[in-house]
Formats: sequence, C-alpha cells, structure tokens
Amino acid sequence: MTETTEPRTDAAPDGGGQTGDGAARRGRSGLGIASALACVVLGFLLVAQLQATEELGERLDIEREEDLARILSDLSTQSDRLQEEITSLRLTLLAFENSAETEELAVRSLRRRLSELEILAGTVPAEGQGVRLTVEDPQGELTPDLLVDAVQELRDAGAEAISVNDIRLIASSAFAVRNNRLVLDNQPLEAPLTILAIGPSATVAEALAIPGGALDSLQSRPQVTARVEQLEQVTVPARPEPPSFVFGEPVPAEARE
Amino acid sequence: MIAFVALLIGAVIGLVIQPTIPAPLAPYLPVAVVASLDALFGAVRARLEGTFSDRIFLVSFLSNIVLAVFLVFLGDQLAVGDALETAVIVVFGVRIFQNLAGVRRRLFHA
Repeated sequence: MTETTEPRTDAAPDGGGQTGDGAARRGRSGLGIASALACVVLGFLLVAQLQATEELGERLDIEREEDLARILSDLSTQSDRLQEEITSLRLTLLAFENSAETEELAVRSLRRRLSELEILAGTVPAEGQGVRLTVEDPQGELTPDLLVDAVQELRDAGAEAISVNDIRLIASSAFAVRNNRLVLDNQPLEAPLTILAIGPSATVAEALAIPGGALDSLQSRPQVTARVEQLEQVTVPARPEPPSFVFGEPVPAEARE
Repeated sequence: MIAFVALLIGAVIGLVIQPTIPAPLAPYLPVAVVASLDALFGAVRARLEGTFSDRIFLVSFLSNIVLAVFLVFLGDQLAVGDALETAVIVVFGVRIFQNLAGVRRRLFHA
C-alpha cells in the first residue's frame, strides 16, 4: 500500500500544489485536522486488516492447491472413519442395552423364584389371605397325628405357609410328644393352639369343615373345640434359624439328568 | 503531505498495538478498508484537479465506510452469502481505478 501512496505525496505538492494549497489553507481548520485523523484511521484499518489477513494466510495461503486437496481428502477420510466408529458404537450400545434388558428379566424372574423359595423354606415372614384355626384343648387331649392330619388337610387345600403358635412350619417340621407334652420341632405347644395358614381362605376353610375332615377329627376328642376364621390378611412369622443339614448334600449339577 | 504523514502514523499505531479484530467485525473490515481507499484515491484525484475539499473528503470517507458496511450487513441479513460483499468490493474497485485514471491523466497527461 505504501508503494501506491508514495508517488501521490511526491506528486501532491507538484501537481495540486498551486491550486490546492490555497483552498486547503482556507479550509485548514477543524476539517483539516479531521481529514488527517481520517487518514490516521485509514492507515490503522489498513494495517489491522493486513495483519488479520496475514494470520489467516499463514495457515491456508501457503498451502498449494494440491496440498489443500490432500488436506480435504484426509479430513473426509477421517470423517468417514469417525462416522463408522459412531455406527459401530451405536450397535455396541444397542447390544448392551439388549443384554441389560435380558439380564434384568432374568434377575427379575430369579428374584421372584427366590422369594417363592424363601416362603417355602420359611426363612422370611409371609402375608396374604388365609385362615386362622383356633383349637381349644383344656385337657391336653391333642396328639401329634391329629395335628399332622390338620396340617396335611391345610396343605392339601392349597395353604402355602403355615405356623402353629407362631412357629413356622417348614419341610423338616415334626409334631411329637415329649414328657407328655406336645412339641413342635422341640418347642412346647401350649393350648389354645392358633394355626395360621396362608392360602385360598374359602377353599381352605371349606376343606377343613367337610364332614369327617380335620375339624371333625379334632373335635372327636371330648374337650377339644376348633373353629376356623377366614381372614383377608394373615401374617406368618419366619423361622428364626433355618435347620442346618448334616447328612444331605446336593447332587452335583453335572450328575443330574 | 500531512495526509501521508497521518497515514503513516495510523499504520505505525496499528503495528504497535497489533489489534486483534473481534470476530463479529471481521467480515466488515475488508470492505471498510476498500471503501476508505476509494475515498483516499478520490481525494488524491481531487487534489490533483484542484478541487480538493476537506469537507467532501470527510463526507465521502465516512459515507463510503458506512454504506459499504451497511451493504455487507444487509447481505448477511438477506442470507445472500458474500454476494453483496463482492458487489461492494467490485464497485469500489471500479471507482478506485477511475480515480487512478484521473490521477494518471493529471500526472502523465495520458
């Protein structure tokens, strides 16, 4: 730019000197200073723009066309590769989501199975609709076989969890007589007995009440009275310590068929 | 002479300050520069023809810049890309050449 301005200033005093000087002198006041300021601004703008262009040019201008084409193709290759990566990652994500879903389903079904087994084993308290069988026995006339019959009847009618005087009946439970006293799993049973059973209350109550059924058998003893109530909500306690097995061991999975 | 010195002073200030142009203004500076160059060459021609006036120079300087920047801004707003910017550059480029032609006729009588 300075190359083009130089000849002008050289020429200005020569060419425009005689005619321009007088006019300029007349107007040379605020306006002249303003013009000079405008020139300062112009110079400043020129340099600013040139420097900005230079900064930009340092990156792109020095590259020749082939180089730019190469850079472009590199960039598009890179973009293609990244696009592929995105696709494959999306697929992986989808697979993970699927397997997570499957896993969640498996966990849910296992959890349901576990809670069923827990109820069956008596390690957790259980609640639900059921019946309360109350047996009055002021003379101690009850025998284990009567109680076994009653429990058998309950289970036959669909009872899922049973307790006698707050003792949970489990797979290894047994009624017995020790020292002339009725015991359940070595714990004495005091009359009156309260037998709670979770199950279809109407069916269970009906099964107990059939002629010659459990109620009749119990009441065949002179002093024993038994009555059944159907309840919306029965809570059966857990067995505090499940029995530990000494002799039985599970058959290894590979030996099963 | 004063104008040339002022131009140099401005250039030196620019070199010393090393201004960084704020990004939103970046598209407007080139057209502003071209527009003011037109005013400058117009002033040189007027000076040579003896019709130079500070008032006209100032008015043309400012109006050129304002008009050029406004047209580029308008181009952005109308989403015509760089079309209006190109138009402004071309028009001012033609005018610069016309002014230079005037300068040339005065200096070399050709």
